Amino acid sequence: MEARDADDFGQFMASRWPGLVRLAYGLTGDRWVAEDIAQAALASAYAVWWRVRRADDPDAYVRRILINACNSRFRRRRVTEDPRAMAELPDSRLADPSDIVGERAALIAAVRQLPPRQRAIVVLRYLEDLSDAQVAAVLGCSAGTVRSQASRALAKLRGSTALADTGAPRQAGPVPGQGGKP
Amino acid sequence: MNSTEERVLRQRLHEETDQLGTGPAPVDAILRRGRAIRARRRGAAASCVAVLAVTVAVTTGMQAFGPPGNPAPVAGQDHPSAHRVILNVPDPRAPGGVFASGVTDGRPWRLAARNVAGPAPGCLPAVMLNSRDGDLLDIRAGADLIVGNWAFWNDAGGQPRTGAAFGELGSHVTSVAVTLRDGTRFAVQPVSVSLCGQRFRLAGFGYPASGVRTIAAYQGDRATVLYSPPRGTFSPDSALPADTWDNTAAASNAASGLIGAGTVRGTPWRLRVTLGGDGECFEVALRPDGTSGSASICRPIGMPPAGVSVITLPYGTPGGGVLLWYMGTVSARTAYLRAGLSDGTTTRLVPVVVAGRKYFALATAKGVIARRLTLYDAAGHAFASTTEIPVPPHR
Repeated sequence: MEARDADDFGQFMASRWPGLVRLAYGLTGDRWVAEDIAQAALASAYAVWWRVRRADDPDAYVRRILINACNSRFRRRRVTEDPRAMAELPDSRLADPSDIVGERAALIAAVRQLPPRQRAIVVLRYLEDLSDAQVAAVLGCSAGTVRSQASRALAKLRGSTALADTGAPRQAGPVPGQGGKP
Repeated sequence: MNSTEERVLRQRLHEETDQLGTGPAPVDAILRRGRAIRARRRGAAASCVAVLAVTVAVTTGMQAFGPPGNPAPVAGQDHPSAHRVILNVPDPRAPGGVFASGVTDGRPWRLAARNVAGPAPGCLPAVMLNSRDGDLLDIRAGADLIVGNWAFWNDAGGQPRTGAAFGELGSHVTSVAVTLRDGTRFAVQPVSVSLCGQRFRLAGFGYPASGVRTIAAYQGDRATVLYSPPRGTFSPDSALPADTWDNTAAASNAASGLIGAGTVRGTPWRLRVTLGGDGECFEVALRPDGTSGSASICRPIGMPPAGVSVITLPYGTPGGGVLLWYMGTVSARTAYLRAGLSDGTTTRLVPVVVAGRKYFALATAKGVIARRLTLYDAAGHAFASTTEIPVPPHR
């Protein structure tokens, strides 16, 4: 019984692993933390695999476990320190293509500053490309709540530097769906 | 947000994550962890057999257990390992906003809805546990809540370990059924509370160290939805901070403001307080633009003090030194305060009001610590003083 479970789950895990790490990265902004959280989420899913397997949407179930794990982890970080040396910081605006990397990093940082639910909604909507109904199913709330929380989250992101130059043409970096042209 | 912004947001998130390049899933490690979780659960389930279940509902009305204030025992077993959970019948007219109270394993607890802002015009609704540890209520949450916005608090210092929980519920919820991890089941009667011009429907209860397995919201006889708190919330080896509220859906930050700024050892700093889902959080940013480093610390939200409530925030610099900030809340009566420092000097500080609460912030030079804080009213009279100022461990 357990061997069959492990086989079933192994297939599930192999296909979902990259996506779950990506989702956790979107929520945490830290690759290594993301892998740890994805591991923890999958382990939790395996512990109740009989329930996950029978769920209407196993992916939504596992995403929910992962988001809860992320939220718990964020709550633990009551005392934080960010000891970046001043000497490491650029004195002036960077030139492309580093600018693009900086913009993305700024966006990830801005997303991390959102409250947990808004953060999850932004990542599920714009990274996982889920519909509002699918996001609602993952988070256990209504689609209306998803829309209103998304609106608030986006307003906050707009207020940060992360999306400050959305009208400007991109100078470097591939653009999804456009064949990697600048 | 327009479609261009949404497109850019989507594009940048994809770009950022597309370069992750994750390796293969660590199959063995995950299966091992999963099996360990299963084994722990089986162990916990087996131990429940030895623990007498405690099941009593209090939703049947006040007459079920007598008048408010009389503890209603919901666990009366004379078994040495039995948990005793006592819920008093909620009294909507209870003074001080108390909406739930009781005794868990001999330890009393009381949950009250209070305004934690200072004098008017500020108003900041929160739930206080035993008049000490506050958690903000989310004013915007009520309309679309299904199972409720639940918060949990685990007592790390006391023995036996116990916890308390409260939930903000939708107006349609008539009762809540709680199942503890040790198998205990009981019902909780929600109470409607008016505070800060808002109406909240709240339910609260205490629980033993094993924690809460599920919370079900009922509308009449019909269960509407079942909620399972994350397991880590109650795990004894959890890294979750004890003695602070753990929200299932943290309230949005309710208030934030700058409470101090200056220069220490040639470095400009700004210190901001934020009241929200993580409690009362202080964050210092070195350099005004916040790009050269930051440190933060959070604590439960307390009622504005009659005197002063102070904490410290150390910051290790890349060169190995330590910068130190003192900050906290002071009585609403405070017009200014003086800090007596270990180098013999005195600094005058004027508190800053954020959300009706008065805050101060002080940075000290290398090797200098604060010895005494004295509060003065508008007439210049000193009315409170303290030397009980926490010292960071690496001082």
